[in-house]
Amino acid sequence: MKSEKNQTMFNDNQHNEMYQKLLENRLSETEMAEHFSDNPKLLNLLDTLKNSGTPVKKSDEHAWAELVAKRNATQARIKPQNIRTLAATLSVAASILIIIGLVVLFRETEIKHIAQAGEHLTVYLPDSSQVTLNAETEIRYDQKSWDTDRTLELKGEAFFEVKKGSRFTVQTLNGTVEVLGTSFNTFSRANDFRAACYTGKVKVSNAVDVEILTPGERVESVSTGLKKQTFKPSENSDWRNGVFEYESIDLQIVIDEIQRQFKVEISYPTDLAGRTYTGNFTNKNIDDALQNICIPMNLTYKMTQNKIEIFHQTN
Amino acid sequence: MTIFGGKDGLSENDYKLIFNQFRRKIYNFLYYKCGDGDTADDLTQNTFIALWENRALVRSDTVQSYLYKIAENLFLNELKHRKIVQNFHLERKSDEPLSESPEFLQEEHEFREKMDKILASIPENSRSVFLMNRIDDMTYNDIANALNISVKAIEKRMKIALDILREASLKV
Repeated sequence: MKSEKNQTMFNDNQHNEMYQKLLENRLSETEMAEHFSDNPKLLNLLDTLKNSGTPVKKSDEHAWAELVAKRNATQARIKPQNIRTLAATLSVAASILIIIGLVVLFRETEIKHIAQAGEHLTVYLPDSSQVTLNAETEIRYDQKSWDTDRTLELKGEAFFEVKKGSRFTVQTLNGTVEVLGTSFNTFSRANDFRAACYTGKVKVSNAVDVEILTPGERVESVSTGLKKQTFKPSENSDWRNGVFEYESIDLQIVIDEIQRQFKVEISYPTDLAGRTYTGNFTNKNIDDALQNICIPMNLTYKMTQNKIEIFHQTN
Repeated sequence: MTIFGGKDGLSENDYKLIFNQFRRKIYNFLYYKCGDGDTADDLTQNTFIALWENRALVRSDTVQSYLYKIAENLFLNELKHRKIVQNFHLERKSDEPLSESPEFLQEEHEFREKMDKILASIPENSRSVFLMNRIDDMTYNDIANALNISVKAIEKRMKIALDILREASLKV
């Protein structure tokens, strides 16, 4: 009898009051069974809701860092408020105009970030895109034109997480990488140029060739243009976590990377040129790194302060 | 509670405390309204930037309703033309253990999809109030203070949300 009444009379005041109680978690088990036997799905739904939350992408620390970066970039807009007489205001306005004129004429709007040997550096760009610089890497961009033209110059190696928006361009001496909003790695040292796409879509070009990369694809420059390969984009195995992985790569490139990561000088016999290395090292401990390289290549090394000498193993 | 809002307004330290206390709540509030994580993230950031720019006016007893007001205005400016939320999606709380069978989880997943759809169909004003109560555990009084509206208005919005849930859940 009761349940029939419930089903047919949703506007019944008493019943509405029960729903109100239910919402505020004030309902006893008996009351619940009595009034909502006709609608267990709603109870189930409210219960599921209790164990739910919104999808949160960023940690508080991450969000705070971004906020402070953006706040400091926009802070220049806020002017102090003072009450002055008209004449005083006008004279201040005039001198401000002159100063602004001088500042606009001579202001250095180019921003430069440099990571020295032995350090990694993460910086935020004005649009809160994030760049992580590997050791001995430099980026520069024009702060003034960033809003209309997201272009920066790169020397070295960096990982980019680009905010969605207009075209984002990375120029290097060896080629150019263009995207809309994505994450990717770019490497340009000496004549060696490499790029790898982690999310989104990336367009890579050098003087002779153009390639479009999708996630899991990378290119490196070879004599004929750009050579495309696949790789596994894994969170834990790239240089940002201090892990350097190589597959049949010129040994000299690996030794150069160790010099940069540990800020050391390495000398090695000239007949190593042309030998290739497959393996990895981490930037946590230089002995481990050197052993990872030397043992499989049948080499050995001697270290004095910041100078390291690699030579052939003599049995 | 700290008293700020003197001659110099908010200090950097106060600002960080307020950020840590309210960031999630403001993010959730915006997410309930727009159903999009990236938009909610951006608007949350802009809310706190606006707070900093107006730091000379901030008082400790009104900072909460001030934040919600900024957030709501930013949402309205940005999205007043958007009537339907597209990808509204709530997640299982991360601290809930996942010991159930795959069948159960699959069933729960499907149920959650339906729930998300029903929630997305509630008008944004009612949805945000309803979820602040259910998920953020805010009482009607808390919500009324935060949004600077009457408890009666909260009750009205809750009823709209509940009526929709009641109708829709019968069809699930």
